[in-house]
Amino acid sequence: MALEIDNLLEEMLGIAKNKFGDAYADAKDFAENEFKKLLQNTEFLARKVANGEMTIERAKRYLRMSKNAAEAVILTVEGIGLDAAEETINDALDLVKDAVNAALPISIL
Amino acid sequence: MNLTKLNLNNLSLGLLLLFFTSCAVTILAPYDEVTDTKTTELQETIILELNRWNTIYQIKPDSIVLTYSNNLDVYNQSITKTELLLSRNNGIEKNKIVVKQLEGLLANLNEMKDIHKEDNILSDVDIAAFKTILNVQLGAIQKFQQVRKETNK
Repeated sequence: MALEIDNLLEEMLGIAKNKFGDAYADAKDFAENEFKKLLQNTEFLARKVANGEMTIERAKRYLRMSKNAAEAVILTVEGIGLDAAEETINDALDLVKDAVNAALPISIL
Repeated sequence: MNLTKLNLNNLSLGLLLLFFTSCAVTILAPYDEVTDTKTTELQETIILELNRWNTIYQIKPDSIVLTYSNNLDVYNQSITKTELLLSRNNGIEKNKIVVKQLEGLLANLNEMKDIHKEDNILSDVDIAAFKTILNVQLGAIQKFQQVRKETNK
């Protein structure tokens, strides 16, 4: 089963809207792009693990690296605090965790 | 105009000046040319290396040129440069965002080094993933500096 990325993105952007406040209008496109990449990476890595081409530990390291990169991008939007950027990514992934893990061949989040 | 009125006007003016002075407090550190230049150099070095590794991998995936020990200098130099930049930025006021960006970069360079050490030779999938991630991170650091530069004009 593939991830329903558009639906998951909507849920994740809801978190961003709450966390970013007034800066959301400027940050929306960045957040949407980064969340989409995180979901696509998650799906790619889960399939690699399921196919035996990668260990789960390695996949989680790649996800951690992808989160660091997403955070660097979101921080470029003026008005977004340090904590808000980090919390938004973690909370957004947390929100869709069950749906992502259920849709993929392996629980990766 | 009597003396009391003049004093009140002066007081109001003083308070207004004080108000605007406090409003002018910088929320973010100004543009830093060193961070901008050094991250651009770092990006060029790292991406050049990743491209070189990929080219060699496509010709000879088990080439000794690709082993961890033969590329340790690439990591050590990149990590040292990032640590120096981090130290510099830690000393700049109102600069937590850049510090956070650089901490993330440092963490990823160390992850990349560890993965290379574990595998001895990186696969083309690893190389492509690192290239994408590091390009995004370094690009974001430069973007932030460019925005500061425009804002400070």
